[in-house]
Amino acid sequence: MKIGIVLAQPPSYSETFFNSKIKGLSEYGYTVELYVRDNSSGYKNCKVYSAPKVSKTKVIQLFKTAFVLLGLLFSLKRVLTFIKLEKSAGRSKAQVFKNVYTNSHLLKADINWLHFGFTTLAIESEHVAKSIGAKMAVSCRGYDMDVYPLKNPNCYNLVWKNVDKVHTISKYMLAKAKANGMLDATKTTIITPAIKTSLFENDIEKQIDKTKLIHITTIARLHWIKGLDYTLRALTLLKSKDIKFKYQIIGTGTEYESLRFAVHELGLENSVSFVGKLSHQETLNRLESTDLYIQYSQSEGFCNAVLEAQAMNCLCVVSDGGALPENVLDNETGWVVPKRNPKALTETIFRVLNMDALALKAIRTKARKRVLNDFAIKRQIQSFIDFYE
Amino acid sequence: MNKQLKIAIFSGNIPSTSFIERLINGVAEHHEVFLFGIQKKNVNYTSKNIRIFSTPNSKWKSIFITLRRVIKLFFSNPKALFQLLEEVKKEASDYSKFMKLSKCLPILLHKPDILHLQWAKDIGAYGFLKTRFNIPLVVSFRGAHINYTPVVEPKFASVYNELFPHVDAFHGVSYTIIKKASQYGNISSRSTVIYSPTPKFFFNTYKPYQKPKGKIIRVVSVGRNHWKKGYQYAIDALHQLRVKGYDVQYTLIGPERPTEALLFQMCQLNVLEAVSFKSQLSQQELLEALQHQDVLLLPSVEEGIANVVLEAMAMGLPVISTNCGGMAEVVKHKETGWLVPMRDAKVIEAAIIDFDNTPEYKLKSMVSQAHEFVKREFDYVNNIEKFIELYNTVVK
Repeated sequence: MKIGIVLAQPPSYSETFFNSKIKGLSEYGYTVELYVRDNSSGYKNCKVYSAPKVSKTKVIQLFKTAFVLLGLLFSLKRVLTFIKLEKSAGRSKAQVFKNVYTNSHLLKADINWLHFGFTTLAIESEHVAKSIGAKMAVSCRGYDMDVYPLKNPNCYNLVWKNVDKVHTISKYMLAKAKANGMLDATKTTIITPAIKTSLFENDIEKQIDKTKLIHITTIARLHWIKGLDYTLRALTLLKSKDIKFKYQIIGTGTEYESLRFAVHELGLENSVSFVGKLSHQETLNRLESTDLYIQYSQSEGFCNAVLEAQAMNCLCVVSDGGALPENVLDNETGWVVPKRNPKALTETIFRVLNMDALALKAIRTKARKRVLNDFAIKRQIQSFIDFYE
Repeated sequence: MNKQLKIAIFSGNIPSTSFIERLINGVAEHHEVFLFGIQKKNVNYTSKNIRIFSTPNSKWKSIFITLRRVIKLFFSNPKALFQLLEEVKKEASDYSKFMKLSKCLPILLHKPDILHLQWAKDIGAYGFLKTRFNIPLVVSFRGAHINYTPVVEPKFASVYNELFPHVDAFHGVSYTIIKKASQYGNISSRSTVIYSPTPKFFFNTYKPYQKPKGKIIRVVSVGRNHWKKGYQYAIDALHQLRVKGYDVQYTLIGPERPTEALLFQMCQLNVLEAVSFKSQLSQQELLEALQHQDVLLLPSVEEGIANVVLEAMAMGLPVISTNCGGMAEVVKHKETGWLVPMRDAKVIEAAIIDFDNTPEYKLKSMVSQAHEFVKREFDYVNNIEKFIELYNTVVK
């Protein structure tokens, strides 16, 4: 079976989800091909096809268009079907022409499944799978369902109409897909992200002592959805309770200016560090020395980082945003706190720090065991095989 | 009468923001005002005292004019040209070298008696005009460039430490900002606080406060879409109030539409229908829009002194402000408004409830005190006189 996965660009080394999926499916005898918009990184794990680029210079674009159309001559029947479907959906001639150009690499594909790695990537490509005689699948991830439709209402109407199967990364995402207009009859499967269990074989012994320095970590892009401003306010309250801690944020992003200023204004200069982006191994090393992991996001599709933190025996305190309550079971494998409530977050952290060492150990153990059993890549691959079969 | 001076009011752009434009027009009644910087669009100043020596926005026009200015400076003051070229060489890229050359040439050709930098950050690029060419330098502290730029970009802290000792005078929009800037050198003896003036027509519409009869509480904030405006705290507070049964309607004047973050927050908290956005209004339109509101809320985490709070106070609208920047100099808690801690939705919520519970006679007295205070301290005529005095001390 041949599966074409559509992504904006090939997955980077740290993107466990796609890398493990591609590698795993290949090992099980599937042929996986990547269809991307930009392949500047030179991905090696499978064949990669790039979409034609759009040039700003009109003359160059004219040549490129001619070249692309020439290349489509051998797929003429597919192109005509595509145009017919696009027209029947009410798209303008100009838009249809544009879509033929941008989808030209997909229209030539000989695959059984065309799987859009993000739902947003399926927009303006909704009729490709039908035109090439493949089945269409889309994955629903955080931004796809949580944010994009807010700015673009009904943007997935054609996607839902044409998709054969929908993959969501959590129950929450499935509910969001339904809320965003997914048809009741659509076949769906939840396949959560997974971790490479071989990286977490070492069962690190950890003990927390609130009279000593507590090491707290968050792995997150510096982005508003990660709720880092609420986390910083909670830590200010924690500091006022005389808890000594070092908090590190691993990741970069556009909100650095506001967060850095917040750290200054909240008097957290000596307690908070912005570590920046780290390699996966360096990130794991940091989790190894982390006592408490916080993910106080406004929403998460699922959140791989929380899985890895649990596998690393970190005590995890998360918000109830998005799928986080599926990731961490409240009072069983960590703690789930109402979102946007710094006071509640502080109180939970304070309560955790005052808990009995044995009780904490039980929670750590249960969390680690659950993650290693239920969120292993092997399981994820099997779920994908079932998904395509 | 003092001799007429040539004062460069420099913001980098022509035209500048409305409050800098007010300063330009006011100073031009007393002295010649030179404007340098990139000409973003044409402006017709009525005063003949205002002279524009701009750098064109278009690339080719700028290259042509810069070349002409290079030749002119070569013949009029070759030493200055070579000194300028030495400074320009320090820039990292060819582009920034050209930009520096094109922007500084007219300043050296028309050598003003005072160069007044409106934005403190510009001292890094233009401070050499004082240290090398001895052009007296005045620097304004207006907000972000002192409050957070040196925190987020520590290189500016070093620039300030190095160059502030050479500045002839500082103008701060508040006492708080002067205090904050004092960490970059002993500047207090060279600093003057001059509050930004509030346009007269805001005072003209003042009328004694009458508490609205309806149950709806209409809260308004004014400002652009920027993280420092802290709208997310207002939305959190709005949500909490609505959960408690208060019928609060929140209007945001400035942003045409919400940012992605605010839109998400409003949807998540289910307050979408309680919030409306009005894109940037003229000052007259703003005044009219404010007249239909019950209370102005400033949820910011950083400000110099927010003009909009002054404008609301001038026209008789009650204000709730966070204690950011110099706001405490204007809003006295429960005297001229509500002053609440920053970054805390709960205290905003409490202040709105308190406002709602405050009887009319108390609100009347509060609003009247606020009006009188702003009238006294933020007067337009006094404001320009204070700048003229400041310039006089520099050239003395």
